[in-house]
Amino acid sequence: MIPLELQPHSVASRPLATVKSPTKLAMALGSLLLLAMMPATWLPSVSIGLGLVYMVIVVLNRISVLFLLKRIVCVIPFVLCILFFHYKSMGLQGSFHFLIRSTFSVATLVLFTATTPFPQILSSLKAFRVPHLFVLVLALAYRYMALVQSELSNMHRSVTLRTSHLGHFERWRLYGRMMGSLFLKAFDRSERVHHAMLCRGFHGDLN
Amino acid sequence: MKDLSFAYPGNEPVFKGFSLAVGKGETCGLIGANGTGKSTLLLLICGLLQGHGEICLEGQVLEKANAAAFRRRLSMVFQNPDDQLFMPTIFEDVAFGLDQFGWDEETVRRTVRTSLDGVGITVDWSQSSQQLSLGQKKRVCLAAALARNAPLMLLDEPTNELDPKGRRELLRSLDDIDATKLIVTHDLDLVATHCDRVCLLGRGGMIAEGKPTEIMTQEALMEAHDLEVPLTFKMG
Repeated sequence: MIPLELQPHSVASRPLATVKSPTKLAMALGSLLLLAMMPATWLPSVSIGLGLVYMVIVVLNRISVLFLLKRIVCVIPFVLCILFFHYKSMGLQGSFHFLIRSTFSVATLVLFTATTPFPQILSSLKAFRVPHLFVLVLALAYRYMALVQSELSNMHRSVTLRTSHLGHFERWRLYGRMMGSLFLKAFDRSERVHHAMLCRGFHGDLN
Repeated sequence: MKDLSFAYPGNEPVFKGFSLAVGKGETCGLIGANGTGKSTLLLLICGLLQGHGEICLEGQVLEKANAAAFRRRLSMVFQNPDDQLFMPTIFEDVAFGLDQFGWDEETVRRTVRTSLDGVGITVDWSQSSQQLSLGQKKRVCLAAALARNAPLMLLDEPTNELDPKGRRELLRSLDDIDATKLIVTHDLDLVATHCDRVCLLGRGGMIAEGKPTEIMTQEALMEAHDLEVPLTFKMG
């Protein structure tokens, strides 16, 4: 199976990986709250301050800037979508502030998740008394993301081997159709996982 | 099992009047070509599929209403360990069933340790099972089933896709289990060497049952059901 490279920077040798995960989660939540609730007049100074802190984190933990930027850019379309619908009420300055807050919020989450092994993220969520069901759903989603990725790469390999005559457009159309098959496979697996849970006494309540 | 019948919607019956009795402490192998309902039979025994007929375990009859209680007395190792291991860590995976049955924390901790030690899992138990090899994953599944200490253990293709070392280690762990075992497998040598009894399934139900030396040495019978005489018997 191809390993899912979600957390390439969570290796123990990096400085931020040695900080206890509940502390990191508290710091990340604090930053998010600050970004969401601070008055607009604080924005320039807080942005510069956070920007510097994040730069230090990136350098010390040898996090690739491209890795960080790629993840931030993934979220920008959603932010732009929100801005599109609320531009009238926000105005130009408000939209710009919203963009800055969103970008820093995403950067905070990316840095936290990239430098903390997933089981530790889950245990810190538990420590913060996040409902167990929510934590378990997260754990299951993470656990099976790797399997879905492996399934996708198998399908991709199979298509590549058998469709050398197809152009890009036709191949993408084929991928579109394959999504249906992937959905069925995922459904089938969810059924089997549910069976395994029932066999081990699962009765809908996790505690 | 007595007079068991089952069909998937819109399909031919998988079982028609199927009966099988397995004695306490016995290891019974279920063999047959693909599509003869071997795995389906395990799901029926777990009450995860509902058929007609009677399934009884140590005097308790399986009914829709008591399926959850019935499942307390059996444990199952699924064919694909990725279906069975879903918790964030190895330890939590093995503890899952015990937690669900309301065992106290200290007993759970002790039992999980004993079970993982018993199947020879020596890696850090706080890591995710995703990082284990297939052989190790299978043994974690076995540990999860063992931890429950249920009187009946169902195993679906336990040696499937294992390398020789993984297979050897898994079989060694299986030998140490005292529970009654029902093993569905295409690994005919496993049945020949580790099972007290074998049931050959065909379309519609049971074709033959008996000791592996009686059933699996019949070349014509085995070949008629897309199987072959295991090497263990061929080599004498």
